Amino acid sequence: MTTIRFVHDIGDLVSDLETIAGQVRPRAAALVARKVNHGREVARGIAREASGPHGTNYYKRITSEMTGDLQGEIGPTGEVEGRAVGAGWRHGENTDMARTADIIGPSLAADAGDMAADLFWPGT
Amino acid sequence: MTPLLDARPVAKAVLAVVSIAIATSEDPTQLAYDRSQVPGTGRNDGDLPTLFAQVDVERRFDESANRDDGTSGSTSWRVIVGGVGLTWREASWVLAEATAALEDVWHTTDDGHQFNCRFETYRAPDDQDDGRYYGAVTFTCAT
Repeated sequence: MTTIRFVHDIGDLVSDLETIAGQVRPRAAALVARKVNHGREVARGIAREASGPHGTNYYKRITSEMTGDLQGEIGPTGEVEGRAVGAGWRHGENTDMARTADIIGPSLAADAGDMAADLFWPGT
Repeated sequence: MTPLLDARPVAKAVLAVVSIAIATSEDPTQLAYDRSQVPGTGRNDGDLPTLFAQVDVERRFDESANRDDGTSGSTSWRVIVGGVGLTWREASWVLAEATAALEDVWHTTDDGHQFNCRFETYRAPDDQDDGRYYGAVTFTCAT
């Protein structure tokens, strides 16, 4: 009678997980930093496109910074934060940052998924 | 149903709902206006209303375009309702009434597209350069 014998060993998986555990944080931090920078440029582009003649240079106030290993901020900064071009209701609400989040949010989620997949199956 | 690619039907539905919510018999100008049609601004006739809402609708980049009933629409919109008044209290009242009328309620455009508004952001009123108070509440919806 032919016998097939299976030998099960999770050593490789344990080894992979130990390696991955050490890679996740730096790779995730790099991803967040890249997305924060990308988001700043997206926000600046939207602000340039949306601003009127009085806000021509408003986009320059949109900056970004990492506020932690895995988090960052994008938005207008400076002494006149929120009032860089005066405060009025006639031009409606500024949705530059909301529009930026619409673009960067799904992009970050997709890239985080790709990063996780690459940790388990590199190069695929 | 043909996808809705024009913001105006959504804006029209929102304007009607918010106007009803804030209308009073004492002041017939206390309504919701498309931002380009506020009386007394730009080239529009009339005097600037004392208290009113101004509505903007812009198309939103949103691949999912989900609705609250679990269905997906084909187009997402961002609805921005600004509350303008002479005092903080007036502007806040407009925002509160508009929110109650819009949020978690199903609305229908003239051509039959249904949508519900989901809360996105709120900016408390503050005084503006002309002395009026302005705040805004934004919603997202999908048709």
